[in-house]
Amino acid sequence: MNPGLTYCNNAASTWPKPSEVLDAVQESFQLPYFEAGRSTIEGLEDYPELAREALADLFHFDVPDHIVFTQNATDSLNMLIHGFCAATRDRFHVITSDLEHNSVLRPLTLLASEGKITLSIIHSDKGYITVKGVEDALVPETHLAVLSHGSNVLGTRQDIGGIGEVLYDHGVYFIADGAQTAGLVPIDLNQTPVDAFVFTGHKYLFGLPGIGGFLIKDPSRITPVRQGGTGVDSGNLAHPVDMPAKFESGTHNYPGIVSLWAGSRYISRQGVHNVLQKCQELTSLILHECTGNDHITLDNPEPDLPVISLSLDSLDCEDVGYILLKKYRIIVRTGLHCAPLIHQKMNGGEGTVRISLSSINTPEECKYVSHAIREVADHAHP
Amino acid sequence: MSPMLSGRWQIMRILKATKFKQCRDGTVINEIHLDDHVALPLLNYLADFGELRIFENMDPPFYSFTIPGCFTMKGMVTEKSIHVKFKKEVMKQGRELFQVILAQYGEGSDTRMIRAYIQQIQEGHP
Ligand SMILES: Cc1ncc(COP(=O)(O)O)c(C=O)c1O
Repeated sequence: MNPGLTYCNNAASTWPKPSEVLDAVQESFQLPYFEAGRSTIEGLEDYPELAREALADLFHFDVPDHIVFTQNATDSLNMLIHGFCAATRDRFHVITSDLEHNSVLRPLTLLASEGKITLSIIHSDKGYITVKGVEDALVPETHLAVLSHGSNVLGTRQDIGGIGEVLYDHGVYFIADGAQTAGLVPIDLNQTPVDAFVFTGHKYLFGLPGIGGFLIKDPSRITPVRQGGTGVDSGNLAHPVDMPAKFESGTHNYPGIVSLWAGSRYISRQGVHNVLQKCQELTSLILHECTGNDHITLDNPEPDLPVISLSLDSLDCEDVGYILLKKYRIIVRTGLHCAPLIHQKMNGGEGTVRISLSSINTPEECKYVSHAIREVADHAHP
Repeated sequence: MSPMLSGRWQIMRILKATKFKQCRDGTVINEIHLDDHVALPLLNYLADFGELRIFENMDPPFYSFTIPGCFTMKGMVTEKSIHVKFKKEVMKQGRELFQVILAQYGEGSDTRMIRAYIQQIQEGHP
């Protein structure tokens, strides 16, 4: 089926999914899922284990059991932020940045309003957080930093290695939000000083919506905010402390986990370097065509990720999105992209038109999108 | 129903309205499917009541029409589906006004009544 769409909203959710992901999910429905500790069935695939191994391989992480499945990046961030807070007795100081998504800003704002933390929001410069910026924000009470690896608005990628080193030296727990980079950017977690790395399934890991997770080095620093059935040690009323059961209670999202397994293998087979390179080439095609047009403002003319935020001089971003859809069948995202602070800084909270690509987009689609944007920009004069 | 009124309803009837987006401030954008496409005569009629921006250089032209404090409507000329944005505070009145304006489209529309209604909404006491 080809619905005739040109889909450029991959930073929200990738589409289409590779056929091998869809096939794997479809096939997994043929038999009951093997639910470890919860069923007498045997001899079937243990999808959570397979997915943990595939993700460990992709992220170069030695401890697959320290990969936890959640609903999405938001769920992971909430579990980690509130779990860190629950494990820390005294009020403490947290560092975050103006680039963050509401899934970081809102939990932190709530904790600050409850008096449980004090919060410093580092100002980015052209979409980047510097190591110096982080260093300057540190105070003796700083125990936690929550920073994104990739910006969903400006397409910038942060030096989480450099930032992580400074935080490590000061004993600050570092949660990196990899919602925009997991599956797109090479990540070696054995070498990167990050304490917890958050991913989501439905973006560049090509999984289904409703699955995500995090990788955690030292789980003892986080208190689980949920307790329940885990399929292990059922006679004990205290929730298990073993990984990954410590953070995974209730029945898994098996179809989502299958999609994550298949999506991770799809990326590993192509090589994440190649995936990123292809995405960057596609992005350059659009940037090249839009640069120099007086009616088009590019918020970041040199993004690291396949994310282009732009605005036109004579139409608001919602109108541009509407025209792209109705006339050209191009799907983008318009508005604030759930990252309000950076928009305040960029254009007073006006929002942008965001074009975001995946490795499944084609050069022809990019040419079509550039043509459409230019045509709208050049003709949009009442 | 008089033949003229039923004729008008045939010209512009709302077939379906769905919520397209809810914004942070409570504003709702509805996607509305009309039984006929929006053409220039309708837009000229609307222009009497508010601010019309029409981008005629585009093919098909894009328009956006706003009655300040009441609603904003946008679409492509020749399309039957439109987006209409209603502010939270005047959602009910805005929707009613939108329906009245469409229903009155055609010969003999009661523009004075519509203007008075708009003024009431804008002054906050409909
Ligand atoms: C940087 C960033 N963090 C977190 C999220 C939240 O992801 P999810 O929808 O999987 O919870 C997003 C989603 O757009 C994002 O871009």
